[in-house]
Amino acid sequence: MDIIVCIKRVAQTAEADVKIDSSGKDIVKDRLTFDMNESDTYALEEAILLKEKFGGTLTAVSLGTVQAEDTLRIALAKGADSAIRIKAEDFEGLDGYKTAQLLKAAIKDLKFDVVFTGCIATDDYYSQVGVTLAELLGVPHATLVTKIDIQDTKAQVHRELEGGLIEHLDMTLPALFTIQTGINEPRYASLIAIRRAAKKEIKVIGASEIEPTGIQANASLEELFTPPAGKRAEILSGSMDEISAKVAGIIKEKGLI
Amino acid sequence: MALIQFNNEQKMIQNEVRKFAQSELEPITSEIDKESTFPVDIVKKLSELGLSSLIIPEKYGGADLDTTCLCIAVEELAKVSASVSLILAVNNCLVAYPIMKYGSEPTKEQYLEQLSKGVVGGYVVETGFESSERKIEHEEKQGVISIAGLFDFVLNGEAAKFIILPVKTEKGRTLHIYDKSPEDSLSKHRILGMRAAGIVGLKFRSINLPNDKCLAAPQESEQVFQDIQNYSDIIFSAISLGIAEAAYDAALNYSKERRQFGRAICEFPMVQEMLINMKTKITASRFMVYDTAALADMEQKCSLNGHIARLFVSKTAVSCGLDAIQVHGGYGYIKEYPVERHMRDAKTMQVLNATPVDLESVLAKELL
Repeated sequence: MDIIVCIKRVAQTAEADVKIDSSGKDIVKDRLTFDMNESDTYALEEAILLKEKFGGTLTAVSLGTVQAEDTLRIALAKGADSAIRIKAEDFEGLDGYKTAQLLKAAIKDLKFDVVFTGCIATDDYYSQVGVTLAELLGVPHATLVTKIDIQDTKAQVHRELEGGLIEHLDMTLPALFTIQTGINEPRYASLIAIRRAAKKEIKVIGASEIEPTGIQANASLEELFTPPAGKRAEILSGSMDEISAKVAGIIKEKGLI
Repeated sequence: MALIQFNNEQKMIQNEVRKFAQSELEPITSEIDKESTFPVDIVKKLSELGLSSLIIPEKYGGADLDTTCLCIAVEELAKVSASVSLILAVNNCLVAYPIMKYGSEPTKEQYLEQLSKGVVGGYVVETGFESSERKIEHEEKQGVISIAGLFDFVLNGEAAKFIILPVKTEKGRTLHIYDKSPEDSLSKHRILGMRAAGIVGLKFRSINLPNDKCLAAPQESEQVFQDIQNYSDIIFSAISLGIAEAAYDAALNYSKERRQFGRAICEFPMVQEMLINMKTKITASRFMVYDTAALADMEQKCSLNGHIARLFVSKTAVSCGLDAIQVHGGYGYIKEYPVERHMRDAKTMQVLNATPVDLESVLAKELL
């Protein structure tokens, strides 16, 4: 079974103090740490598990700057056979559509039965790349996947819905799955594997290798801003007892208890 | 070019160990310290990733990485749990290292392969303290040394399957590998810091130390002991560095959260001064640790740098621990916050196998 997994290196912003930079279109990144996008780590693990079960090849692909090679090397250390970086520095105005087009250009000549992506990137929250890439490749897709069971060319897939519901789909390969966190338990790379992966070559492709015709963005980023505090938001001050009494008062006043 | 520049491999190791420490270790750190529990499962997982055999050559199943990588791994673990960091450090620098350097080929095969498979090794710290209870009796018959007595500080002793044991004989000190026996009685100390690191006392009734398990005979042993000490100085400095950073991070975060007189306490100049002092010493410590590690990796003489690093960084960790408690005020003193643990662990690093006084006297000899 030949598998492709698309991964992204993202800034870890969940607990960080995020500030907008002087361009107004990006955040200040010099004090942030970067790592593989969370749902991509699950997508990678799912890809490795499939490869361990069925054999075949596993290729990791990332659109990013040279630092994305660190993330690709982790994929190599965990079990990918080869890695491709698409030079983000060669392309401007990367929205979800353009990203999917570039990924397609990078993998179109590879054989694949399954393509994995994470279900969402924690930096731009587009959730577009997986589904757009599936359309561009002309293969069916399923999003928010929480379980995959493959027999020959058939895949039984579980998708997570709101309200605790699970949707069960039967699909035919080749197909693309965007993976939800929690589907598996991502492994850590062993030190021996890291040592070997550090020496592996990563294929790098850029503007000179990708035919530019038709590759374009659908949306352009105009501005990033922090919304003004809403009128209904109120920060309570005082001692712990005073704040507790105020909260209890508000809850009662709204008739919630 | 920056003085400390990690290559791809080193950056990846830093990231993976950091993630492991934050996800797997952090949730149990406080508990294992409180209960003084040797974290068997965590050590097993770390062994599977190759951390307990990090410097062991690949032909014996190890990860075959260098001193800088070991310092990186140990520093990252120490930021979260100094005890766990010490366990892995001891396995590498005080158990694997002497065997790699001074063991015969069959000894290497037997013991390094065990370490690579996740076996924990121990190391006896000589205290030089002998009393009526603590007398180590030894005798030598036909080349076999047998000893009986109590060793107070055995690093990793609680979980170790075999230990590296220094023995004083009439002809001088020797260094042996000893396979632990169920008959050895183990006494757990109530200790200040490194409470989960499995540091125990071991009492031997009468054990034989055959010649083929000898790593250093009396005529060469002083140089061997010095070499092991020098190597552990580098690695133990990295543990202290991790502890100092953890104390600083906790103090910095708390100073931003804690408000007094209507503002965060980080706005007060005296708190700022403490934070700046901590950060300055930590920055200097990092240079010392990784410069010494780089020299070791280039196989250049670095004993002086190692002693200086160990002395300075261990003092840095203790002062950062104390300052972090001060920044926390009364809360620094209670166990719900991690800083009192950092202080206790930092102090322990100053009594394990080299005290500041020991280091100063060795340094004086080298310098004068």
